[in-house]
Amino acid sequence: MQADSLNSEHLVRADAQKRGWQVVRRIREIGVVGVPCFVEPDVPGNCEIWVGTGENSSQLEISFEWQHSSRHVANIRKLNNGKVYDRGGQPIGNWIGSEGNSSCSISIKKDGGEYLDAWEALKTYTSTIYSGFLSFDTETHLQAVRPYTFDIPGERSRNEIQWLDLVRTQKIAIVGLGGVGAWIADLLVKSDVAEIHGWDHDEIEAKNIIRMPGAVNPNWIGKKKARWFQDTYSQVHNNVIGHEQKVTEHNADKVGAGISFGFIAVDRDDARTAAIDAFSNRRIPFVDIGLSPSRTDRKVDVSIRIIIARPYLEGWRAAVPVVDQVGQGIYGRLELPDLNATAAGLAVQNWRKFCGQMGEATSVECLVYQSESSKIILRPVS
Amino acid sequence: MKNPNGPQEIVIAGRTLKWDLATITYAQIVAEWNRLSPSRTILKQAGIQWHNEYEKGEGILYPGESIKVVDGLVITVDPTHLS
Repeated sequence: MQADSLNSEHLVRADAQKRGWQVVRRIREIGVVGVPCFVEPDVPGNCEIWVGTGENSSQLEISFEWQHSSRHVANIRKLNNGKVYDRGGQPIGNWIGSEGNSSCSISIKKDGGEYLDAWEALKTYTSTIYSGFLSFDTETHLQAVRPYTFDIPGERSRNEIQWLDLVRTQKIAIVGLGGVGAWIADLLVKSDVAEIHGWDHDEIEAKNIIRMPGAVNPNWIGKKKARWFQDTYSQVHNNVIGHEQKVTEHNADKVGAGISFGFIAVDRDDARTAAIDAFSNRRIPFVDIGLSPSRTDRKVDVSIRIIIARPYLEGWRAAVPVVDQVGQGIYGRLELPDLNATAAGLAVQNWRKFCGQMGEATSVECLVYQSESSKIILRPVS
Repeated sequence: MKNPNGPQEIVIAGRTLKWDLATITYAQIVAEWNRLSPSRTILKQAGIQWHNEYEKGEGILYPGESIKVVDGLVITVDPTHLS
């Protein structure tokens, strides 16, 4: 709950910073100032959106008459005729009342329950009113608030936005930014999650350049993978944080802090064990990914093993190989970015299934893709 | 227990062999792998999966488990888990 609250505040502030709005905190209310809207039909302007809180608190509280005894009601100011409108000329939200023409109180309830706190309510009011500025119909078409450093034009239906919302507050940790981990990072930065943390203490070697996604500038050779991760993906996603550290039992608290889901893509058993403990001890779901290459005659076959660890289930533990670095020799000489990408794709798809973004006929705790047969073998949750 | 149908032909890591027991365990597969692939000995716990084209069965085998042995059983062993 605390993580969701932090995320809502973060999203409100990130959105305001990106669009040039101001977030203002007062003793009993918080607001966003300068949000584009229609202050009367067909008349654009900038409004202020406020919600009432407890004293210096982020909890919704009834503190003002304009709330009309409902904690979740918002007060919209700097209007022309006592209502705020969408581009089609329709009032936004359920109108509760107005104090003259310059402001009004409106209600937008959260689907399926109460707002967790004032930040979550403010996020909803702000995105709805801004969506109304951009589109004709806020009931069916919305402008999604997305975590990118740039705007993606185009409206989306409420269903499409709710699909994005399934992961929008998630904070992800990727342990290992090598051949597979870098591809996972590349996919996740395009998935609307709130934050992505990448952990790796290694430096980029020449061989990594032709395993990693995109055209990594060879100038990165000799520099930290975590630095590359942060510098590269911060260009498109607002919250990408690289950690130039090896994951061990000593920093497990930091690795797991506030994390919603983990990805483990490491070679060494000790690193895998530390990452597994960091997540599983905190009931954080995660996916562990590994490749097993073999050479037959002049051909190479690869198995990709994906382990999906769900909180409060333990069956997946038997699927975790304990093999140390056997095979590192052959793998160290193989450049198979296609297999790295396949492994990352399978891992991210299983995360989407876990989050409810993709359907899952059977819950599985382990799957193995075999390149030779193009077959995927599943092990259902036990 | 001996297989009542006699020795069955199975494949472990690309090598064909006759197996005369009714089942094969995870530990027996690892032992066979180590015998067949002395240069890549499994020291700890590998990933093992199996399939049978004739009976259309397949699965992932965990330590402590065993599989019924029939002709056409193909067992794959992953001695590595790399990133």
